[in-house]
Amino acid sequence: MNLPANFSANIVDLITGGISFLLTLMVLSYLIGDNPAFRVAIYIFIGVGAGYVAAVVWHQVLDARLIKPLFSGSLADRLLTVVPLVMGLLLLLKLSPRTSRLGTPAMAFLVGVGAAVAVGGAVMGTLFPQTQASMNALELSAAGNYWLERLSEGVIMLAGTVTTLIYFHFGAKATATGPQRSKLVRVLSRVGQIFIAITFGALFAGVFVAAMTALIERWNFIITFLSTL
Amino acid sequence: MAGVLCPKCGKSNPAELENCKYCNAILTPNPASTPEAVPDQRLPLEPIPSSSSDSSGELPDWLSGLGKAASDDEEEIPDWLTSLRGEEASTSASESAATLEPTLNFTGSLSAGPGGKDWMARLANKAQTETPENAPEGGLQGEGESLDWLESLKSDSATPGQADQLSSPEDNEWIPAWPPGSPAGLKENKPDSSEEEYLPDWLSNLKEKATESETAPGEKDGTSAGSEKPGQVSNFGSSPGTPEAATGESTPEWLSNLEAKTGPELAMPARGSNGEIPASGAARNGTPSWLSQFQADANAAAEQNAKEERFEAAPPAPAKENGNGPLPDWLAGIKGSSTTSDGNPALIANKEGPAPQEKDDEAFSLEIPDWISKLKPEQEGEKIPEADAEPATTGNLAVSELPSWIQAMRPVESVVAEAKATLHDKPQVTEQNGPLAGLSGVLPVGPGLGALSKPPAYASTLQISDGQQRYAASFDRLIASETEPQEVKRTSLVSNRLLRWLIASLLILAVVLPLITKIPITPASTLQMPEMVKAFNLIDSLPANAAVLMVFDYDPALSGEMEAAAAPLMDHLLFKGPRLTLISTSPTGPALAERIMHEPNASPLVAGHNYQTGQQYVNLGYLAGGSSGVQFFAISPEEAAPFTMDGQPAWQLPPLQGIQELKDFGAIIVLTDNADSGRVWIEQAGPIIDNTPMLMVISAQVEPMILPYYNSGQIKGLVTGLVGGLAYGQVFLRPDGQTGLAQRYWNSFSAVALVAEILIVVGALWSFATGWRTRRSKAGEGV
Repeated sequence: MNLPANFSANIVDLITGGISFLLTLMVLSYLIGDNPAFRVAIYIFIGVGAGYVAAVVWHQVLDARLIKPLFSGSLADRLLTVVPLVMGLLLLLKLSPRTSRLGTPAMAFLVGVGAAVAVGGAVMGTLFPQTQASMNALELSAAGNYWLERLSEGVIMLAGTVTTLIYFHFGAKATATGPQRSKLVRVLSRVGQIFIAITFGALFAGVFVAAMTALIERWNFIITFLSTL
Repeated sequence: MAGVLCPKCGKSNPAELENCKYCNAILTPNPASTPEAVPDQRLPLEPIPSSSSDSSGELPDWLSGLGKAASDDEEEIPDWLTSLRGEEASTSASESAATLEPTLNFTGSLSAGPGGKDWMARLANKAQTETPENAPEGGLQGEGESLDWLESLKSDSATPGQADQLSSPEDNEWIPAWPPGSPAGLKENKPDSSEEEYLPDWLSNLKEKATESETAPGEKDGTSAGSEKPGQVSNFGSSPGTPEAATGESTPEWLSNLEAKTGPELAMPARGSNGEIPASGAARNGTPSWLSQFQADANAAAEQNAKEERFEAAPPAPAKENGNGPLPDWLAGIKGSSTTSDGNPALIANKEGPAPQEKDDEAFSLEIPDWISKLKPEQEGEKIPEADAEPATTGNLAVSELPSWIQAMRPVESVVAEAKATLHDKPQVTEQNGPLAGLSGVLPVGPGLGALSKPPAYASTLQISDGQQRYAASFDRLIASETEPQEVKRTSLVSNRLLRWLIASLLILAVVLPLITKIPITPASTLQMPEMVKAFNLIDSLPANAAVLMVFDYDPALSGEMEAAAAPLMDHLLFKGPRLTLISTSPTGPALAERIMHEPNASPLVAGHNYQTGQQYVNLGYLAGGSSGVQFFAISPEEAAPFTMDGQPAWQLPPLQGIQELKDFGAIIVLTDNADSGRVWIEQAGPIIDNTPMLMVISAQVEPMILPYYNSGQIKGLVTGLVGGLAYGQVFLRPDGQTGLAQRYWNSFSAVALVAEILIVVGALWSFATGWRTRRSKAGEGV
């Protein structure tokens, strides 16, 4: 029996849609509490995700960047792959407590390089540029006719930055009733606390919006799937 | 065996030799040096170079003749000796009972020679019975039969009191036990079977008498003292008081004179007097006048020495008590000479006392016979170690002059005692400072160590300031507040579930109803964010066929939001016909990239462009290494990601033609739902890409963290979440008028956002009301 290609595609879409639909409902079943359906769905997602990641790493990293150069590459490629091969094997020795010390050099190399790259990037890509941007917040020449808006924005940004940093200043002077911060610091830290609360509110709103968008997307899929049946 | 035993080393030598072939000592044909008699002769401190044979060889003619006459025939004993023998028999045996045994032992063994003479034995017996403190007289060995009586007289000079003093362990320590194997003292008094075999008759009789006299009560004090030490020491230290009373008038005149002459000199251990035996024996032929004079001189010298002796004050009472009569003159002289002994052995010189040698020399210088003058130097050299009780000859002999063979024979105890004495003689340093203060004998502090001082005293309590106390108190309160149990507010589980279901139902209804009914709840937002506008302008300004790098760094969980936000921008971009290069630092990113490129459910607008992999775009797949991998890719993209997701060489494909560095791309668009991932690309690739614009499509949850980078100019455009996508879609109008997912989701998003806002407000009001009511109730309870 010859089935049309459109039919087979629809069957595949139906099967995949059905599985997606079931898994979505199983996840949403957490609304009534922890239940086996939710656990099964979670286990499936974790297993599939881990398997997929392993497959990707094998095909796109180990096989493509280590195995193939080692067996079919040039001499230079083979020599270059010896270093990551040895270090990778040493890292595997970390699995056993008795041989974990042998993997320490490789681990130290990874941590050292990673820390150096992260620190360098943080200093050059975040600390200096962000500090400079904060100092330029009150630059009104580039604002044009919106100087008042720019000024207010700059003042708020400056106030938020300063008061937030003051909030995290825990220095205090010894008084008769115990160590206390000065009154000015306490006032500014209170303002900083407000900015921090607003920031956390913004973060929560963003997380809530992202979660609601995901929920909308899932219900859109369910409605679409059900409508296609 | 015909050989002659060496008196020094005890080895057998041929009889014809005069000197020992082993030690070169003078050999004397000793008739008593039979193997049985050797043990007694080889006492530790008795090398006995001048044995009886020696004495016989060196004896003067007149003395040799006497000895020979005495040994030839007992019948030739003169009458006076015979009468003397009879007197001996009548002598009380009880007086010599105590010290008789040691004397017997020595004399018995020594007189075991073949020529034992009864008359001499009886003579000796008489003298011994008169002296309870008779010591063993090893010096009479060999020719002992000729001088037994003389040595007995010597031993008579010991008084019981002095014997007690000499019997102290200190006096006996240096004296080795003889015979070997027996301790000094009574043990050596016990005759062994070998000795008894050679006992002559007179000695046997004497031994029997001595055995009988042991039961005499009046003599027990003296015998006990005398028996606890070797006989030679007893003799040496004995006072002549006792023999004075014992001998009384029974001593012949010639013998009295002779003994008075030889008293000081013969007051030596019997063994040490071997060499003087001829002199004594010579007296038996008749007391010469020179001997009488010698006796007087000796007495005078001895009296002078006796004043300086520490034993001078020794009470002669026991001797007096034991004595039966006044001392004869010659015995008085002996007494005086014998008191020169301080109880110390001659080898251990008494440094405190004066050396009697000079005084003795004066006495000897008067009328010393030639044979004595000749004999004396020889004996000084040979008898130094033997003259245990001869202060006259060894008083000035230093300890260091002891022959090595005698030093080697000294018992360990004496050496240890000397060492201890030396240590005790050293000045003891008493420590004045430090923890050892008050202790003596402490090793002095070495140079450079400095003076010791008491360590400073530290208080056991912790000294803290007021501020530190306050800090500690604050910390204590903080810890206490954390450890205090807090009352758990009990809430109804049912109410929680109902509230959760209620909120979930409201949200689901807010999502589903707009999707189903498609009724617009709120009008679409017309707000155009500046960052979104800049992103649109940058995409819009890209040239055709421009190389664009797109980074898909988001997870499948937020793919709905990300696809809704990125779809309008990608749709806009694809209308430019760019050469796309897809890459991801997340393992699931490449799959999500393929999905948005080809899956109509994900993004129908983008999928509608039907971009072909390898021709219009290339998916480089997963970029491992995190920030290091991003930096490596920013520096050398071709080396960092040489292959496509399918394993094909990527950099020969058309989308990557002309791309050598990251800044060769026309634009870099990063799609991420993670602030860290977005920051890594900004930090690592931003400084390298120079003027290449970097745009970002981000999730709404990371906007607060990424927006500052837009404000700083590090990223040129930003599209945030569903709102950003909707705004972008409002700006970019497709020619066919289709809209993206953002518009489709907008109604639901608006409804759920409204419901959420209402719930938040209601929840806040509810929380405020409950709090107010609680405070009010607490206030009412307080009133």
